[in-house]
Formats: sequence, structure tokens, C-alpha cells
Amino acid sequence: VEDRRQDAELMSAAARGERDAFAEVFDRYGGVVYAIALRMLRSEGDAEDLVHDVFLEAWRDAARYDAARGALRTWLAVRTRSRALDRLSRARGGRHVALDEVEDRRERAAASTAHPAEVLAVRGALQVIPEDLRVVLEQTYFFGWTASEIAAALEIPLGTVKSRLARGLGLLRRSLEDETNDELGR
Amino acid sequence: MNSEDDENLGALLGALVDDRAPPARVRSRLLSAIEGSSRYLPFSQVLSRHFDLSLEEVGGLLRRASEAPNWIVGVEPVRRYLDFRPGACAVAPRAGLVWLAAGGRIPAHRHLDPERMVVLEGVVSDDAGRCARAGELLEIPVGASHVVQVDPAGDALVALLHGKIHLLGT
Repeated sequence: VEDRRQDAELMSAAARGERDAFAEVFDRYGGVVYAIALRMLRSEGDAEDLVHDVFLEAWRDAARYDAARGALRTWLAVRTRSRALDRLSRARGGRHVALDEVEDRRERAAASTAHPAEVLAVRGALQVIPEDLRVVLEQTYFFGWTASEIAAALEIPLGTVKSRLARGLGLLRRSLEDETNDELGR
Repeated sequence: MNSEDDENLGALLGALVDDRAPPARVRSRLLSAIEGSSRYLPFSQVLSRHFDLSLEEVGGLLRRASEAPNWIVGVEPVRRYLDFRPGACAVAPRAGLVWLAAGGRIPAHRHLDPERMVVLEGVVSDDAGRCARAGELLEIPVGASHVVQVDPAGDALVALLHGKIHLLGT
């Protein structure tokens, strides 16, 4: 709560053009923005450019940040993902393929729009999934890679990526169901 | 996605990565931008609204303003100014960015058209009790008379939407 109050004050000050306040915003959240950018773009140079763009946009839109609607960290994280997807799309020739190779779009939507109470549950469920499956799930659903890109990066066949995705989703679903049942059983 | 979805997605993204400090040059580059050509970007929305300009047009204006040759030297208390064309639905026909000298005073005048002044830097007030800091608006109705004063602590940059005035004295 204290962090969020301070974030709101910093962004209000930035909206008045106070550059020192915005430098503090960068010092607080440059790390998460850079980490997401690197995870999605896989290039330090591109990630640095993206961090610059995201923070410049946040500087411009500082007055639009509303602490009552969400934490500044998540506001910046969502913007980072969105801008990174734009860059990935441009790099792929404007083709929006970030998620179109996923066979079960309903699952994707469910995974990316979890309710607040489920956020930690999803994170916990991901942690118990074997790493080879988890990497494919995270890169596909949250970081915008295509199955082909994952296959190339991991040097495994495309079919293996798709099967890991299917198995990973199955495990994720069962894990979340188990957690829900545990909650109901308490 | 709605804002709740954004919040959840953002929380998940943040949870799935370990923060990693970007190289120092990223910070330097950003601070250099917000000290220079992007200094007044936080006022884009308010300028867009009051001057009836798109955000792209405001961006173009601010880029022009970041280049010294685009400014014209004024007469004290105006240090320099840069005229621009407001949108068709703005409440007055003329507009400009104006640097006013710290402690400067614009003598008594009456407004024959409405005026809007968005302060981008410094503090500007008048003898009618109006006062605006960076990001704030001074709105002067038709017929109002006043003397404008710039805070002595520093020069002020204002975006002015104006029409005709009638000088009343010194």
C-alpha cells in the first residue's frame, strides 16, 4: 500500500513535468521492464530500445496512470509486453502470429486473463510443471513467441514444441483444478 | 482486455521474470531525452485538449520547440516565442509558445477574445488571484482585465491560445 501511494505521488509529480520523480520511477521499475523486454525480444540492444520507448511513453502518459486501477509495476509490465509484441509483429513482417499457432485459444485466453486470486495460483502451478514444458508455456502465452521461434531457440522439432505445449496445458489445468479443490476442501 | 485483465496479466508477467537492472546507458539516454526534446511530453494531453490538436500534432510542435532556430526573440518580458496554428475548434484563433522572463510583468490589458494559457514551466499569476504552475491552465474570459506576473524564481514557458487584447496602461 505504501509503495503504491509513493508510486502515485511519483507519477503525479512526473505529470507536472518533474524529471527527478520520473528518474525514481525508472530506478524502481527499470529492472522489471528490462527483464520482460529481454525475455521477449532476446536481444540486449532491442530490449534497451524498448525500455527507452516504454518509459518515454510512460513519461508522456504519466497523468493517465491511476493507482486505484492497478500497481505501477503491472501498468509498466503490460505496456512493455504490448510494445514488445508490436516489435515482434513488425519483425515478422506485420504478421500477428504471436499466439496464432496455439491450438487451444480458449486456454490461452483463460491463462492470460486470470482473476486476481488466481494470479498467485497460476504462478504456483507453473512452478510445479517440469521446466521443459513450463518454458514453452510461458514463452507462448505470456511472452509472445511462436512455436516455430521456440523450436528454433531450443533447437528442437516444431512437433515437440506443440506436444510440450499440449502436455504443459494439461498439467497446468489439472494443477489449478487441484488447487481449487484444495481450497474448496478447506 | 479490460483494466482488470491488464492488472492480472501484468502481475503474472512481473512474477515470471526476475528483475534485471538495465545498463546505465539506458538510464542516461532516458534522462537526456526528458531533459531535452521530450521535456514537455507530460503536457501532451492538456495541450491536445485545449488547443484542439492531435497528440501527433502536439508531438510535432514540441519537436519544433526543442530546436532553437524555430524561436523568435521577443520584447521583455517575452524572451522568445514560437507561433503555431491551433485546431479549428480552439476557443481563440491564435496560438504560441512563449518564454517569459522571471519576475516579468505584462501590463494591464482587457481581453476582447477568450484566452487560455497552459503553463509548461515556472509559475504565472495575475492580479485577479489566478495562479498556474506547470501543467495547469489559466482561463481568461472575454472582457476580463488583469496584470500578469511571472514568478521571480525562474523563467516561465507557457502555451498561449489568444485573440485580441486592449492595453489599458503600463
